[in-house]
Amino acid sequence: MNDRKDKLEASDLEVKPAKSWVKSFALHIVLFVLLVATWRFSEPVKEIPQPRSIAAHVASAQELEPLRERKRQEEAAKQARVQKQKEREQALKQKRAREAEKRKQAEAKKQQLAKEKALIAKRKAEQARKEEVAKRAADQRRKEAEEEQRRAKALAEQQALEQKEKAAREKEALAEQQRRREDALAQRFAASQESSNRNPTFSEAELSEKDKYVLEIRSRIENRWHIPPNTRGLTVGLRLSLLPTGELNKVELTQSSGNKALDQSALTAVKSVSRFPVPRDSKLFEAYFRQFSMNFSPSDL
Amino acid sequence: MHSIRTRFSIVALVTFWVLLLSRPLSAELLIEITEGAETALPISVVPFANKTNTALPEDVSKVISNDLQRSGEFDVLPHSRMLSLPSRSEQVYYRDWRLLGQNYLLIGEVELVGDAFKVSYELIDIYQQKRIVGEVLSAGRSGLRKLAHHISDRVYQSITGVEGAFSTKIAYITSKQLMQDKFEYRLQVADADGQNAFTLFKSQSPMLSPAWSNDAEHLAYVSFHSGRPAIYIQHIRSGKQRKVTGFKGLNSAPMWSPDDSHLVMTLSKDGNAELYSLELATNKLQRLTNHYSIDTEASWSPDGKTLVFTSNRGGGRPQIYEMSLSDRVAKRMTFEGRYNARPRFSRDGKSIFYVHQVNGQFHIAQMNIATRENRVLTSTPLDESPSLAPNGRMIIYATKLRGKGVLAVVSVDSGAKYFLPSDFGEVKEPAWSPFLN
Repeated sequence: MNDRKDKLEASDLEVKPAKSWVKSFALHIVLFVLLVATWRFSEPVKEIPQPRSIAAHVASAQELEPLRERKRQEEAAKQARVQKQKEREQALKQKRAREAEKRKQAEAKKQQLAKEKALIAKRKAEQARKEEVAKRAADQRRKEAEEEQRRAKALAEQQALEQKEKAAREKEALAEQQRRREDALAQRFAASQESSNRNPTFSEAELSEKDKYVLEIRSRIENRWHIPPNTRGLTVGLRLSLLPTGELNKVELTQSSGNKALDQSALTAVKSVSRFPVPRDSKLFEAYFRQFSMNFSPSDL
Repeated sequence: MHSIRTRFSIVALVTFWVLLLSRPLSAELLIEITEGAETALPISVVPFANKTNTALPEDVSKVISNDLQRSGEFDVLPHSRMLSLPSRSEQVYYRDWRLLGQNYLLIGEVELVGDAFKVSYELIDIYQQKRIVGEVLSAGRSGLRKLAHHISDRVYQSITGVEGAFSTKIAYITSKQLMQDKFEYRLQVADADGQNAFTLFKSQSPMLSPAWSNDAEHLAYVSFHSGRPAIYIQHIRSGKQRKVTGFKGLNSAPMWSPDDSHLVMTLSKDGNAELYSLELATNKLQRLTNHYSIDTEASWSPDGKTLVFTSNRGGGRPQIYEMSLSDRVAKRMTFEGRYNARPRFSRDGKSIFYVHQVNGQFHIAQMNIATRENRVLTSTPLDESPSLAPNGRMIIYATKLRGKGVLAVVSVDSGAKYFLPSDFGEVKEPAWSPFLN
């Protein structure tokens, strides 16, 4: 910061010699002008002694009159010139005064500027110092915050882990509850049914595997179903329960069509399938094929 | 820190329940079945055990087998492929019949009790391993065939839910050239399988258009035996015949109203073939159509409110029209093909069966009245005079077999077809009876 201040002062010093040269030049000009002016001014003042001889000449009033007139005129011209000169001098003086004033003002302004500059520089330096301090403080604070964050994160992770474990425990507990509920349901539908262990998530491949078996079961049934006449628009609902081997464990009529022949035809179709195509994957089997429903709705002929 | 923990547990709980609810118990796999087997239903009719120690006048189980096979809806297993011949349900090894791919099994036996035959039968569902229907019946020697048709009806109804039509009758006209310029025409009535035919009326003049009354007691028909066409009604059991109309010109195509009180017919007594309704009790005649073209072959809807008939009013070619009897405005029904004629309402009134010309050949077609969809049921080239079985499952019609007029029956759904035997010349103009009580 001190360097910057020195630089500023040095530049001020450099400016000064140039200005004083202009000043002396102007002064010379002024002196020269004054000299010239004074010289011209003193000439008419230096009275040329009137040659008496001429005065001795008697001149008539008429003769003298044009002379007088000329003299008056010359006098007037001289006065006008003096007046003019005076005015010019006055103007010059005023100009010089104005210039001096201007210079003075400029000087003052310059000084003021320099002062301001110095002040700004000072302020800037102050600001910088403050910023530096603030920065250091911010750094410190950031470091502290980071530290804090790290600690919080570690804590959160710790908590998340705990939470996860807790959630898992809860989930397991709920799943257990759910499983028990499903077991109860399963028992209601099929006494021999083992406890269901359904997994809610299946991959695309597993789902397409499931669809494959659905299609196979459908085609197996469609080949076996003999649709009684006049049953278009009716629907029979059945619920099937299978063994993991694909054998039919149980089938029950969940929705009668109101047409006994149609109900029987659907039951017969299901019972006529000796072994249903089911996935070997026990997870898929338990989720979809252990127990499922079938709707028989005769379409057009 | 506590709030974070709380939030965490809430999120975990919500996630868990969302996962849980997204696959609730009701999301159980549901498989929709809408198509059935294209094949006929497999059934085994085991020869009924004969415990009479005599030869039976009628092979009951064979009559039943033929009935079921001809319906087109059953595939009857030949005796030779049967692994055992049980006659009682306790003798049935279900596994055997399952191996043969059989859905149903009909077993029975015939005993002689006095002069009468005692026939017992049981219909068994192989896959459900249970007896569906069973009866003990008795009949005299001549009644065994009728008894067999009765069992066929019971089997058919038990399995399909639709009343069987094996015990019904058919009427038809036969003609035979006896000598040059001498023909014999017969109005005959037979069992639905063509057996037990008897002649109701015979003449050397042509006969046409027999029509069953809805009580199955009478037949109305056209006969030329008086020298010119006239409409007659004949009581079947007594053979009593009465002339109903004998107007100048055409007297043709009689058809009974659903309550048998009226006959609709075609008469040309007023100069042009028009439809008339005759009240049988009073002989009051009412003109129903008035058009310069021919209107004929009317059929009464089951509710008695509408007539369908053949007319060429639409530009020379015969097409089918329907007319409400309340406003008597005829509306054209058929637009496919150049020739559509002789319409007959189905039993439920939801469709009509008629003769339809395709590529120069005449076939029997069915039209759904509501949707106007039609389909061709037969494939022989000169099919005519369709008449529907009372259960709506089969149609009898006249066609040509090796140049000779014969009767054929086609299953409405399966398209299975069989020809009826004819023992007397050409056969045509069949009419299927209503259910006989």
